[in-house]
Amino acid sequence: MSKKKLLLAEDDELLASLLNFRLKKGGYDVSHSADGKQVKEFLATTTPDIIVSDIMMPYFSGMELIAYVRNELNSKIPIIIISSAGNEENVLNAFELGANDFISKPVSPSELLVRVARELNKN
Amino acid sequence: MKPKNLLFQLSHLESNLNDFSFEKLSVEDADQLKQSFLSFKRNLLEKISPSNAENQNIPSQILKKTLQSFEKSAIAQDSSISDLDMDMYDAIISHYKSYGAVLKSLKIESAMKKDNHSTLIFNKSDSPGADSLHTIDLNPILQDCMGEIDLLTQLVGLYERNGLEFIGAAKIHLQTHDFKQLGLAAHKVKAGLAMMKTNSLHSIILQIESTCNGDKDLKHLQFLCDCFIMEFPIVRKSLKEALAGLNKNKG
Repeated sequence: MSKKKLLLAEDDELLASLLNFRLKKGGYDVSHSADGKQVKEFLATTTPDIIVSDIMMPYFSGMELIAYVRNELNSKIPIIIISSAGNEENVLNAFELGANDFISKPVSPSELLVRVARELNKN
Repeated sequence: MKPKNLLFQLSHLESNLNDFSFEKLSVEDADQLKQSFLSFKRNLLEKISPSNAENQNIPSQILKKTLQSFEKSAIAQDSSISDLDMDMYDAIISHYKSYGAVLKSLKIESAMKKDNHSTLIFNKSDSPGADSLHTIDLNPILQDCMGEIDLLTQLVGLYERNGLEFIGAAKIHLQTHDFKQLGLAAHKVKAGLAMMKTNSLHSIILQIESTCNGDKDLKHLQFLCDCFIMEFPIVRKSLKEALAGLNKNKG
């Protein structure tokens, strides 16, 4: 059985390193993009099974990413948003744009693995 | 200590408060203010509790505790209050309120709420001593790393780099008054600081980000960045010690 492709869009290298490690250990084929430009370049050539994205990223925010995936790519790829604590307004906006789930920082890698599995099982 | 001497102390304090401008409060100014407050409080305590004045050799820690509990005890002990010259008491309260308003407008009270912050602000030691280090428990993060100490070491390295990058970026953005970029720089390191449970730095960064998104008070931001710069080496050393401890246990 082939590994599920997961796009991790996170500009914080510290958090990204930990999540990358845990998601790979969890059996996912993880691609990491550190900013919006890299995300767009990746999505132009690859269709991941799920996207985990920070809201605030250079060049192309998590909000723009959701809008891009839903409206321009017309894709229903599950998107999990990583948000800062106290950023509830952004989370609501993200859901309105089509995000499937969110997880607050500081992110628990174990919790993220559960949420990723749950979203993939839904599909 | 006679009331007129207390009033002299108050005048001195007032003079200090009037001497700095809203835009120019430095760490040194804040230190001077604190010293004035402490001096005033000590003398006021002597006035309220004469027995303390008689004993000039009180150990400093006991005196400090007494000073910290002064407000509570002053309210709780009716007999102490009854000894006060009420006119002077009213004058003190009035002055205290006016200082409170000044300090509130400077917005430094939130940074000084916690003891670790005031210690950080007024401890000018460049090289932190062992007793000033924080206790950081890296075990939860090591668990997140599934026991991979190499990954944890890598994360600590990234943490240090991010902190240094922030300090560099903050200096530039403060000079150029680029609050948006300063806020973004703070946001970028925020998650890592929380992740490594380095709460003192995380708390400062939250305030920097909040101020950048709010009233963009340059003086307050400079103050907070100075706090970060002073606190960072202490946290970095604490992290290294915690990591060394884990490596030792593993070995």
